[in-house]
Amino acid sequence: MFTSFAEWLQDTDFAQWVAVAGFPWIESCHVLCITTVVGTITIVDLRLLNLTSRHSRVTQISSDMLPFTWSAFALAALTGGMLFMSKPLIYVADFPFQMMMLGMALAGVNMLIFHFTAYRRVADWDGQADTPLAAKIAAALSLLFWSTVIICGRWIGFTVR
Amino acid sequence: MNNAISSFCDWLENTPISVVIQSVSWIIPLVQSIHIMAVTVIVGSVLAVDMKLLGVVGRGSPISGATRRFLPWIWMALVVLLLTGATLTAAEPRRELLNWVFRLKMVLIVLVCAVTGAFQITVSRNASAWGNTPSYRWQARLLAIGTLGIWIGIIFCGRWIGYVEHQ
Repeated sequence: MFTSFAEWLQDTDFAQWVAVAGFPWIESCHVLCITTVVGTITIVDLRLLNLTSRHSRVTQISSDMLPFTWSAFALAALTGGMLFMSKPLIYVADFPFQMMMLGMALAGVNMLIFHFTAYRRVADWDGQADTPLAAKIAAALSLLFWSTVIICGRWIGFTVR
Repeated sequence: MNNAISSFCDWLENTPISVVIQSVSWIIPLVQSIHIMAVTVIVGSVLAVDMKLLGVVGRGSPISGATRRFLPWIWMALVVLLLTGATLTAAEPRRELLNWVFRLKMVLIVLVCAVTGAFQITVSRNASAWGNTPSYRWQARLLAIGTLGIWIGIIFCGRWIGYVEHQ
């Protein structure tokens, strides 16, 4: 069923246009979006690791940065979907692509766990320079998973031509 | 001019260091990944400073707080970008040095470094006024939109280097 869906998808006019002409433009937008996602998340993660911005509240940094993270993520998903359409069957079978998706899923799960545990009591430690161990672990994992996403994303360009 | 660059490329791509980078398959993907991670540091820092200049974030706090916090990260990331970029150029000199998009990217980088450096010096001399008094506000907006635009151009050029035909 996926195969027939994928074949229909890559035969659409839009996917054909991506494959022959649109790819570099969409890919450039995709790189811009993903660097915005990871760049803004890194600012939050470094604060959670208690390495930077110690004088600023964690909630202040989050509310300044996360709107950019989420809008850029939505655009990265949209542009990523457009790139995917050009060769869906090749991408799903590609190891770096699978690892990139796994990295993103792990980043998502890590974020959810953090939100429902340590971040629930953020009011208790918001203004303090030091952050709880759980927040530090979540931030370190977030940096690890997002780095995986970037490395695997770049790697796709060497396995799918 | 291009002939001279072309003979330089001939020499560079036959140096032992270039030959090693070309022959070990994982070096270029890894160095490119580090290059992109340094770009994420730039994008996050530039966004933080420029949104502060535009008044989107951090209203009521001085601009010097944002510049002291984020501009050093931009310079550090630029050093990493220079080193990784030089490694990639050593491996495939023709791909970059004989490529007009690469040249445009270099011009934009020099421009944005000059603007950022001048801005950093200005803020350190006159920290309280920047962005807070009305006469500075339009300058702050222009600077923010200008630097964001140049950085977006640099990122687009970076990706397009791999797509244009070089000599």
